[in-house]
Amino acid sequence: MIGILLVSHSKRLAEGLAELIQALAGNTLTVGTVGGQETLGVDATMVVSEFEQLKAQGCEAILVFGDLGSAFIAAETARDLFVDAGDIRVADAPFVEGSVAAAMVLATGGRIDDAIASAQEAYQIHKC
Amino acid sequence: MTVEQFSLLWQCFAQRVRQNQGHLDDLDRAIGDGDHGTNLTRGLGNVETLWNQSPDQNLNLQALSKKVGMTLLSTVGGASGALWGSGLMKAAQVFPASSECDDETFVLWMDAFVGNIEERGKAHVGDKTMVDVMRPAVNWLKAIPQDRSLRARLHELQELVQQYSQGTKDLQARRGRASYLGARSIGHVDPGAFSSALWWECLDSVLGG
Repeated sequence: MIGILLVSHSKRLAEGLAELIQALAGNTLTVGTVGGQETLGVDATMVVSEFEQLKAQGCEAILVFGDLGSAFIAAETARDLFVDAGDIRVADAPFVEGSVAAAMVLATGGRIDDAIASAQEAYQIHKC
Repeated sequence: MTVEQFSLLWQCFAQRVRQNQGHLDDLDRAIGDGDHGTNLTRGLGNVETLWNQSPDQNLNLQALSKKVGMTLLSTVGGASGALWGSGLMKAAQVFPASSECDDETFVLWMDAFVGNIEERGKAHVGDKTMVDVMRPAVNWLKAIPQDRSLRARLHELQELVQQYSQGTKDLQARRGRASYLGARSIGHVDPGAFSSALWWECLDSVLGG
C-alpha cells in the first residue's frame, strides 16, 4: 500500500487537505498529516514519527507533499534519518493540486511514479 | 580540536546567540517571520544542557557532532534546525571516534558540515542565506597554506566573516521565505548569515584565543 503524507507548517492546513483528498479521491487511501499545532512549523523528528505511524498502518511506500520551503527540508531530513524507510519519495509539486492529482492516480491503482508525474504536471495547470 | 573545545564552541555559540536574540529576531522580522533569534536560542539552550546535566561526559567527537546535531534538529524548528542539525549529523562521520583530531581533519569536518547544509538547503553562495558566510569562510581556510596554524588562520578570518555577513545586505534572496519578497529583500542583512558569523567568532575564541 502507498500512503500519502502531508507535511505543513500547520497541522490544521494538512488535515483540511487530507479531508479534501479523501472526499475527491476516496477514503480507501491512507493519508497522514503532520504540522505545528500550538506553534506553527514542522521539524524532521515530527515527520519521522508520522513515517513510523504510516508504516505501522501497512504502507510500504510513502509519497510526501509539503506546503512551503522548510517543510521540504524537514521531510528530506526525516527521510535520511529514518533508516528503515522503505520507499519514501518527496514530491516537488504544488501542495493542494499536486497531492489531489497524486491521490486520484493512486486511488485508481496507479503506480507511485505515475502519481508523482501527475502531481508535477499540476505546476502547468492554470486556474482561470 | 578536542572534545572540550568542541563543547566550549557550542556553549559560546549558545551564549552569543542569546545575547543577540533580539537583533536576530529583528533581522528576521524584516524579511521573514521574526523568530530566528528565539528559535536558535531555544535550541542552543538545549545543547547547553547536554553538558550541564549529562553524566555521559565521555562522548567522542563523532558522537558529540551527532548529539549536538540531533538536539538542534529536534528543538530549533524550521529550516535552521534541519540545516544546522543535519549538517552536524552527517559531518560526524568525518570526525574520529576519539577525544581529539588534528587541524586538517577539523577543516575537513567543517567542509563536510557546510557541504551538507548546502545540499540540504539547495542554496548557493549569493542566495542570501547562511551559506554566504559558511562557504567562503571554509574555502578561505582551505586555500590559505596549511603551514600557518589554524589558530592564526581563524583569527585572520574574523574580519572577512564580518564582511561576508554584512555583504548579504545587498543581495536579493533566492532561497527561503525571504525569496518571496523579491527585490524588497535587498537592504537587510540575512539573519542566518548573521548567526553563522557568531559561530565563527566563537570558533576563533575557542581555538584562536
